[in-house]
Amino acid sequence: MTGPHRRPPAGNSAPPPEITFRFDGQTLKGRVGDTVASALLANGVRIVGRSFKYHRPRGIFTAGPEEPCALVDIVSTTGRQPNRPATTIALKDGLVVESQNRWPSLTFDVLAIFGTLSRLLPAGFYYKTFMGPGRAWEKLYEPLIRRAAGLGRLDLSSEPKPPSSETVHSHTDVLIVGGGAAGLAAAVTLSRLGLRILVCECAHVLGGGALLDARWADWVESARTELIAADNVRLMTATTAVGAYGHGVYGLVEHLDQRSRTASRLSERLHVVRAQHCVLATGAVERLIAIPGNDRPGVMLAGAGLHYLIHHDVVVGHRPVVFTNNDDAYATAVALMERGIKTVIVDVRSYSPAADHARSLGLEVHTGCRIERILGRRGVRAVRLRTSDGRRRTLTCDAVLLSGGHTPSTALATQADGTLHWSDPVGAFVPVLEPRAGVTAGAVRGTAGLAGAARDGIAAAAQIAELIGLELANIALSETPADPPRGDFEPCWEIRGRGKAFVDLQHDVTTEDIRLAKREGYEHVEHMKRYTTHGMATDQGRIGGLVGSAVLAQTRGMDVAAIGLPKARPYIEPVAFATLAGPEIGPNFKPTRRLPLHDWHEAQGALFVTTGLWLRPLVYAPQGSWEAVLDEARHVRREVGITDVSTLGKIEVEGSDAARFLDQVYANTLSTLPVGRARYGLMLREDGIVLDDGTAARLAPERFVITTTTANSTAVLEHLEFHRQTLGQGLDVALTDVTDHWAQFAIAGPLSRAVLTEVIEGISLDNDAFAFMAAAECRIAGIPGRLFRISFSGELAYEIAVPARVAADVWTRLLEIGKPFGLRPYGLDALNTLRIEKGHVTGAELNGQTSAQDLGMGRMLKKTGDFVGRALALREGLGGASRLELVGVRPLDDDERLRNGAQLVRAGEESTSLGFITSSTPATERVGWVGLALLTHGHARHGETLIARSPIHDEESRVLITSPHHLDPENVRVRG
Amino acid sequence: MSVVERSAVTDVPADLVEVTARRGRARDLANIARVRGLDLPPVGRATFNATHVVLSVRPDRWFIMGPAQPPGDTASQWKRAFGPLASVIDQSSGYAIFDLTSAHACAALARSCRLDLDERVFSIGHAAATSIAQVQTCLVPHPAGLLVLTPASTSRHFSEWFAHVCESLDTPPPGASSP
Repeated sequence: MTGPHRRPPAGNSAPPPEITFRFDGQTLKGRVGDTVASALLANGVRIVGRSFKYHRPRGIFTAGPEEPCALVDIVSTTGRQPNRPATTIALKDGLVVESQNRWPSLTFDVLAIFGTLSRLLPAGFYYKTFMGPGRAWEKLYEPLIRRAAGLGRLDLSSEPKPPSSETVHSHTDVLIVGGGAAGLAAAVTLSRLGLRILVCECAHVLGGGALLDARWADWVESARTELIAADNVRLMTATTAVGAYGHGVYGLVEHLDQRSRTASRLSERLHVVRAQHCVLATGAVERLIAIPGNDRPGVMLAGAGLHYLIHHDVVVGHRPVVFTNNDDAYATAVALMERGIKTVIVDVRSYSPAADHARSLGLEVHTGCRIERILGRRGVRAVRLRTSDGRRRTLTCDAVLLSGGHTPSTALATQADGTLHWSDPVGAFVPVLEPRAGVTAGAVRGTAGLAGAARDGIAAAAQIAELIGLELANIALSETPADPPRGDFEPCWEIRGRGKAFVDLQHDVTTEDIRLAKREGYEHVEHMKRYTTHGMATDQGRIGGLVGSAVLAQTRGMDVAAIGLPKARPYIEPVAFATLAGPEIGPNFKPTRRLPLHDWHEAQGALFVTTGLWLRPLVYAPQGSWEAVLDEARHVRREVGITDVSTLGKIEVEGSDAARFLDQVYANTLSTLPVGRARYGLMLREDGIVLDDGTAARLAPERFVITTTTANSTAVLEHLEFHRQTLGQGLDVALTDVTDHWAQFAIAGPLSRAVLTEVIEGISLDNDAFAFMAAAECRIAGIPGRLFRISFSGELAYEIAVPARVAADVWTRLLEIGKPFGLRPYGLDALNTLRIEKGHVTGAELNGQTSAQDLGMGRMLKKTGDFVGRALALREGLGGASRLELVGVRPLDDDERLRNGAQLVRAGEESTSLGFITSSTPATERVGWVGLALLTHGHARHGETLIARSPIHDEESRVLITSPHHLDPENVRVRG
Repeated sequence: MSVVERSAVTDVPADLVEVTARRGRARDLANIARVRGLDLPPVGRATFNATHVVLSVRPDRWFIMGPAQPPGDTASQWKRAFGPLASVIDQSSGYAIFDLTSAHACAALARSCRLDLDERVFSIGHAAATSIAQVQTCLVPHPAGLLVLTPASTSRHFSEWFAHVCESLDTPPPGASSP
């Protein structure tokens, strides 16, 4: 036997194999099929945790995910998982479980002192305390509160972990949430119509409440067999619907069992389900009754007691008392009696058929009675009873099984736009929603009994068939056992008396806290929720939420129907961030775009850098250093280099209105550009700020190719497409992204013409024949391509474009031909050095805050004709002395370096920033550093000396403000 | 079954041109294409003949996929055929074309693809543009599997993602956990 509370299996079947596990260092025995909770109960463990606020000893209260008390840490070699409900964790051999929120031990917890001080710590006490002195908050209060707050502890290991979950997108004609009698009946009925059916059930087996009634075993098995055999049905057990998001989208979390996770090592799977229709057979959750002492270890919901007995052969007590206001709890007492446990029933109702039946079986039943108080500190030892004739009596017991009725699980229905309506017979809110949004069936709509639920399921299926326009035929399911006659439910929310009566066991919210909230003015149920935190714990107050509303209603002198329930938002139960993130973490957080020559760059030992999504070669030296970068850059200045600029965005603009369209979207004029020429282009956002820059080349009268910066290529394409479809309506123009089709290389340096002459066919590269900013289609090393004479480096330079598929061939051929000229590849850092010296801007300067005037390009804006951004580019705020304008900067002392981000200040006015350095580099043709900066009134400050301060590096240097063009300001080299 | 066999990804050596009808000329374009044995389908559809696949995922715009030829030749031929009626852009190097023929392909794609790929919904003759593994794709079902077009620069990311997902399909397909 695996513990003193374990009974032999019913029906003489062989018990499942034994396994061992550890709880707080103690080795215990369990059985295959146990949950941690059932195994602990079997071993007679009563205290499994400490409460959140008062550190009161707590036991196991439920048998499902709604568990508020038995939260534990699961410790494994891969880390620690905190706050896991012991009621949902499948026991496995060697499992290590630790209790939470206690120090130094579970039985002796120092912070239990908070229970003694509880009068000083009512709901919302923190809103009124810790007000002063001001500095004490950071130094004293917050550290102390943080230390005391929370339950489990996160595993703070920084070791990267493999993804523990994945996301799967699923589609179905009908999603059925809930695999109980209603869900199964609906699924079987609809499956016969040939529809795609997806059934999700949070438990590991189908059947729901029907599994607790032996008479239903055949019916469940029959339905299950039929559904498994149907190839149009997917059955997903251990899968919880955690949210409904409208338009038929639902979130499901599938908890993978040991077998499923062996290969993938995943523990959970997030399903995003898109369903045409939905049956919500989500059932109902038994609720507590607010009695003083209702949190003591040994107090449990009656249905949970039945669950542990039927599924795990565990008796939750040897002398239990059932306290109820409805018939359902009687099943627990009867089942316990059948296993030899004498159970006393206390029923607030004066009569019910179930009481008569129980008495006839020999059970002790006290009708018209109530339990006024539960006695015991570390566990239930007795209850104080008030009988129907007003007498008080103490009943010795070791467990109290509460049943305050059932609250329909309405969260999904309300998320699917359903509304809640009060039902007197149910004593709870039931959802009403448009059939197209979902159809409810079974206990969720207040239907009592399993047979009633099955009938409901069939009715729901019929409703959906009608919506689809199908006719139901052959809907006869196997006959269901009849529901027993039922007595009326009698509301019983709270029994007031001495001691704490909890409505939210996880957040330690009592009925007095709710009354306090009302006194403080938080009368609305949503305000009460936030003031007291009732229902805000991981269990979302499912077993006491309605009780809290009822106590508030009583306090306000209203009906609970008028008070309502707080809005239930996704997620219905806790979902780990890891589950939501899925595999898109770490290096897979974003996709990677690779150059056509990525493998070549890698083979040459390039150090890569991420630019947008692209991986670009930064420098051809694995360690990277300024020496290596300068070596590459100086080689370009002196001889010739080649760099891969394929990442540039490239867009073909074609049509009879192409030139007109470009005039609209560029701030400068492009319609006057002759065929065979390229022009620098500046694009503004609608607010007048610079969006991007690049070149536009006219390859034919009605055909242009424009380039964008690497980082902005998608944004520019979207911007252009938006304006084509709005401003450009009626224009004959097509935009096509050809970024990936064309590999593009820049060949720069005084010898670049000599190299290219060897591979360019049919075009003379003489200065007159192919001048600066010329463009042409031609053959390059025998491949049809494009040639542009444009320069980002400030040197004589060309860019060639060839289809990416043959890029490696052309690149290799160029290197071969260029070898005698010293042709060498250079990376992004060298390119950056070259452009900074030349004063060309990139993302650091096109930072979403600079205007054309700021960058010294104000004269480019066309004087006549409209363009995107024109109106707002002229607004007052984008001009004047307060603007940060582009300047050059260099240290007065050649031994001092510049830092990007360094603030520019006047000597003696260090706290007033006048601007900052955007880009900097060691210079190629002189000693020292040069940089670009954005500086207030910068254009008028050339020649001024300022201080560049970088507090991060604890550096300061005197710098000279200059023109941004550090090198060849007359543009002689590019025209050479 | 190895991962490679299970993922069954084939890089299709084909030429691809992107054709956009000039304003108001889509019908004329369709007539010319028909003469050359191609049907230009409406948006969300694809047509096939013995050598070509044509798909449309944007209005008045088509991808024409055909046998690989020397760089630029295919686009030049279509440019000549369509003349001023269309913008014809060579995308042969712009997109990678994968042929997914594995029985697991749809289950693998469901790890990221939001479209309903069930053959009752997305059957032969359909085409769609969607994001998979965070990259842009076009999907075209055909009798032996599914063609996937993805920008060339993200093709390695896509194929690596697909292979990884197929590897994880050692686990039972979604929902196959024993009830």
